[in-house]
Amino acid sequence: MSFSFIVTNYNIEDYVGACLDSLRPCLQPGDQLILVDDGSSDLTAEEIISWLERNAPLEGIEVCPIFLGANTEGGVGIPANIGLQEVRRAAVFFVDGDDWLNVEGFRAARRRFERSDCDLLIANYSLYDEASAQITAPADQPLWHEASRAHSAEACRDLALRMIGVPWRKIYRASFLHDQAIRFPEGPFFYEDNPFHWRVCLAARHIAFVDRGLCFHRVNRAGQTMAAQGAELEAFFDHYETILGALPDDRYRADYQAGALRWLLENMAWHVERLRPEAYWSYGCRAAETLALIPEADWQALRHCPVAQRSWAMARALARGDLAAVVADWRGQETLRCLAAVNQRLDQVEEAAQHRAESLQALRHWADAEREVAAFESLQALQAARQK
Amino acid sequence: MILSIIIPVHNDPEGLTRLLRQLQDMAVFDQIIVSDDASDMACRPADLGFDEMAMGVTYLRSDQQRGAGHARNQALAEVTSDHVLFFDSDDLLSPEFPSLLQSLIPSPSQSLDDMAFDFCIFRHIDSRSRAEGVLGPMDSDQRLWDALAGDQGGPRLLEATEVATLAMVAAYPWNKIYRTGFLRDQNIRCTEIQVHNDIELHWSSFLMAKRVLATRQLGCEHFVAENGVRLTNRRGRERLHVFDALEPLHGILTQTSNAPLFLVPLVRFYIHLFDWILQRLDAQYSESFHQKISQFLLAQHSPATISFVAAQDPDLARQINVHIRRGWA
Repeated sequence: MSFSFIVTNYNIEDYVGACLDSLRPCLQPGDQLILVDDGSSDLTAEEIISWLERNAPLEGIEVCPIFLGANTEGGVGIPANIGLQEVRRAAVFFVDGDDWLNVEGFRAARRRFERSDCDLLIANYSLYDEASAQITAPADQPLWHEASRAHSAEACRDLALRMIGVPWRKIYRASFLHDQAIRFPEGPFFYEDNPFHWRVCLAARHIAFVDRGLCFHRVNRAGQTMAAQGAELEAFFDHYETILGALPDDRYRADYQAGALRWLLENMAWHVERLRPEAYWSYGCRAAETLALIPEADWQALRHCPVAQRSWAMARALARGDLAAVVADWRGQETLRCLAAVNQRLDQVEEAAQHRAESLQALRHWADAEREVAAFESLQALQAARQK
Repeated sequence: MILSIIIPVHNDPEGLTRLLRQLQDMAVFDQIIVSDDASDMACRPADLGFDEMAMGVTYLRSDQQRGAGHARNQALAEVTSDHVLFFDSDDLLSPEFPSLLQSLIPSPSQSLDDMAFDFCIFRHIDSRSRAEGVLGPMDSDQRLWDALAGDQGGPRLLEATEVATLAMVAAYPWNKIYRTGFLRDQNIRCTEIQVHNDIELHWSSFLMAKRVLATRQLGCEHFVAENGVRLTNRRGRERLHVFDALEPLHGILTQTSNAPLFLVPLVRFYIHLFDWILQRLDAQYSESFHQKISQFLLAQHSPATISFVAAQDPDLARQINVHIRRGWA
């Protein structure tokens, strides 16, 4: 089975070379390599061309470079859709241009997909923190023990929807995406992979899981979408509405409306920790607008869900229109975070000052001692001179 | 334990009578040596109504007054017991003293060696502290006792560093029970001067002892009468002889392996003592005293000892230099 790889790129000149180097051993004759540059303003496009020249000829690989020339609206949605249009192979695999692949893990996932009749395969991945150079597991790691027990199609679907929805951890059957006409939403927003994830999961007849790390995902990089702290997070409410609107029929509606709310609440929990104070009101108003329309039955379905509880009180207050109280609480939390940071800094300053004082005192002690020894020696010499 | 008590006495028949009555009642001493430093009217226990034979009293008398140091040394030569306590005629033992002695006898689970000691130092009651409602020594001494770790109830063998710390307590002769053999083997004695005769005894004991026990039990009560005729209140030139007591200590220090532990405490002790004496000394003697201090410090110290003192306590080194300069002024 041949694969179409879609590598999406935007202003990642320092990383794309390493990404493609790691991708090279994953390519097999017959595969298609689609490279989409979303109008980078740095040297990303040049890096791609240079890599292709260095690695030419890529025997048996159909290379399809696409340089959009200008940055498109929103996040990865439009370049990813453009890449999808070019797909000519049976399987689709997205690659984030600043990540790098785990070759062994990818090959294992590919073999599994080739042997299976699934529409979608979900694999594991690792996070690489650019600031601390630490590699960690993603937040949905605890869900993996359920994967071996999810036998029915619905159990698999339920598990898939609770996992982190990023596209570059999955292998898609191309005919499935084509037949279902599944595309990323396009618009002035980010995080468009979430509604895409929901559409894919709800439409797939069979979902497979393989607990192997496909790639290393770079986080804490300057300019990265996930580092957003402001109004762009409001896109989640649009995505929620898109997800609800795309629920295919009444049967799904009953089963998955509450699931969509759980997804929203789970994301709101981390939004609040990232939001800048100047975005509080705007984000709060947008949240209240969506949350106010949620039927009580959906809330009640999540009453005992620990994931939903992370932002439960705040979301209920926003749904009631208690915007001022919620923003005041956010401000309070922010103040506490600031205070904790200030306290930590003060401790450091105090420790440094104490250290300096101790060093100074030791120096003074030494100088005093030396002075007294010198004084004694001269007194002794004077005494000897007197006695002559 | 066979124990002797040495009591130098000079013109204090009342105090001696009071003390001998207590000793008679307590009956813990096998030998009581009264060393009369040429009192105007002999202070002989028999003349004060005591049965010398029954109480085991030895009476010595000098034909001329030579100070308590001489009286003590003379008495020490007469000691026949294995342990000895130096005492003063105007002080009293505490009611606790017999139980303190009892605690020095090895228990059935201990060997004789466990409780062997060169001397055992105990706390005392100072009458000035008692006047303020505290049963114990003066604050400066009490702080040193408090610095000792452990439960500090009964007698405990001290570590070398603890010995050096406790050496700083006031240099009294009567707060230690000595092993007679230790004093004789090491030739430890009092300086035969009128005042400060006990400094040499105190410090040379601390410098040379291999095993020191300490107990927080209160062994005796020391009576201090302000403005009395006690040695403490003497202001005359006899104070200038303090160097006779101090000089031998520097000699001992050069021979002991514990010198690094003791040098700073000893220097701190006598620098403090010099200031104490200067506060009491009649003005006419102070210039002479300053000169003696200066000579003493220059003779006893070298750049090596000053470096050692300065590294631990720069201010103490500074005080040494100040004293040397003042002696030249």
